[in-house]
Amino acid sequence: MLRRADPRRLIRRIDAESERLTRRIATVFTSRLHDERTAAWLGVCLGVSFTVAFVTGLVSHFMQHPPSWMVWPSRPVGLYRLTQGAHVICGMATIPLLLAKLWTVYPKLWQWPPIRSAAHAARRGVVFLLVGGSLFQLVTGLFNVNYWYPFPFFFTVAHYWTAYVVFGALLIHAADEWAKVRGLRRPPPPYGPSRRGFLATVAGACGLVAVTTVGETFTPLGDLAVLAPRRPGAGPQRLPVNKTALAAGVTRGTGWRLTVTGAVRRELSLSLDDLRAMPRHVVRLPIACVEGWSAEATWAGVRLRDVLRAAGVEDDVRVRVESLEKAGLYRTSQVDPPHWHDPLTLLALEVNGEPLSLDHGYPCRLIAPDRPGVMQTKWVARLEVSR
Amino acid sequence: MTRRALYAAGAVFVAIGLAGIGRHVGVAGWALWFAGVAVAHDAVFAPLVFGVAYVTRRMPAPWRRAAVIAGTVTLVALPAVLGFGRRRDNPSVLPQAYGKHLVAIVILIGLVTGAVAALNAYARPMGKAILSIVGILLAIWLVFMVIGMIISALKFLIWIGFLAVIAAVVVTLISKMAKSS
Repeated sequence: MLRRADPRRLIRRIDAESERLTRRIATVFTSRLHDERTAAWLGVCLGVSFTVAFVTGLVSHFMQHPPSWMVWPSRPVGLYRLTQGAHVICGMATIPLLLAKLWTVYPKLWQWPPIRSAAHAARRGVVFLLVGGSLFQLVTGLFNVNYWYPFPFFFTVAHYWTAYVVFGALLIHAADEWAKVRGLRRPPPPYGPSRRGFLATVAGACGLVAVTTVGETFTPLGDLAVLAPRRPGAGPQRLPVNKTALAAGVTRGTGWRLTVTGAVRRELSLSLDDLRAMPRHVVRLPIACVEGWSAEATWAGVRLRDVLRAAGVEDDVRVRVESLEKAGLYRTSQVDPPHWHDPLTLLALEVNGEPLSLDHGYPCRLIAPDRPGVMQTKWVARLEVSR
Repeated sequence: MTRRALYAAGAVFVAIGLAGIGRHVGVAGWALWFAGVAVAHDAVFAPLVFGVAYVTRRMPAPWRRAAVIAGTVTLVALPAVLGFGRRRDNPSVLPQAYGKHLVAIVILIGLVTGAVAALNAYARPMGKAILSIVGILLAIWLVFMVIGMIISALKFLIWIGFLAVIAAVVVTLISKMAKSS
């Protein structure tokens, strides 16, 4: 006859066993590099890197989705190129740094008892948010710049909201650990020959990632960008493409006209020849993509402000630029006064000395300074002016 | 005081983020990935790294460091190497041979590490011999570089002198013509 196990004894037994096992695991980590100083150094670097990513990420988000009171300047021309390049390249270079930090503090995962008090539990909860969130941001971000979407959510929205969770957890964690960071100024203990070597190794890995990718946005280092998902000169008319005409469902038709409507004194309907008859301007502007790459090109076409003035508009109007594209998140974009007043903002008809190819937005695309690439609307068919 | 302010600010940010996720992101899929990457790191990746570190514990320090760098760079490059994001209609996405490039980088890391290890072995006769050969080659290259630079500098100076002579002649001629007229 089977004896019924006493549940309390069983629980005690499991408890004792797990304690023994956890303490045993904790003794495995013998390296001197699992110490506070190494963790604090890596933590300071991560704090800087994640703050840069958070701020540049917010810039990118609010450039694309400005609240009604927010107006972005159109200069400096390359500002968005710089902030988004920093966001993506710093993000990729942070991957070795984060892995090193998690390796250094890994033994703490196996501390015993797992929870000492309510405050300790809260602290570990924040660390979980920080670890899960950091890995989440870097992994999904890396997949996104490689155009690979194996996850069941929309990348930009999830990446944006998770950033708040990570940054909040980072602030709390920094407040908790600040005493250890202050300890960095004290002279190091006499042992520990390889800490400097370890930190140099991590810096080397981060640097190598940066050097082999930064050329996708910093053109002078273009030849070194051997691991970058993009090359500035690779694409039709020596310029990369994000969404092709095929993907957008746009074909080369006849009878294209550009209509200007809304809050205008006279509505316009311009043919391609009408646009070509207007004063032609040539500008050199970069396409700076949200995915971090950027490439400069020489654009030719008419100034957006010339077209708007021809229709008769007030100085403070906003313009909605609409594409031939039937659907898609980026089929329209908003152009605020600073951008449409800017003489560099064109309705471009040519790129690099040739008429736009269909993939670059034939017959007509928007090109403006200091603006995300997804807002440089292609296949423009309609300008809707509003107050 | 500062600490309390940081706690409060952090809590507000976390609350904003979680509320946004609740309203705009499919929570189940998001939570699966959020916890999934943490578990994948803690339960699979980290033990794997510790396992490899244990197996290679007798490896000299420079080679272990090289392995760490090569390993992390490989991880970052992996999505590009796998190339799941490639599109038939858009050859400008992932346009490079990332596998080949990664192999070349790993080989380069190996070569640099080898050179560093050789440098460390400088005191030993064999290392000394290798290093003196490399040093002689470098010296020869340097000498040629310097000779080339001197020659090009001379050429440049000769050109400047030539232009100066022409300028002097022209100026004298003009002044003479001005006087005679």
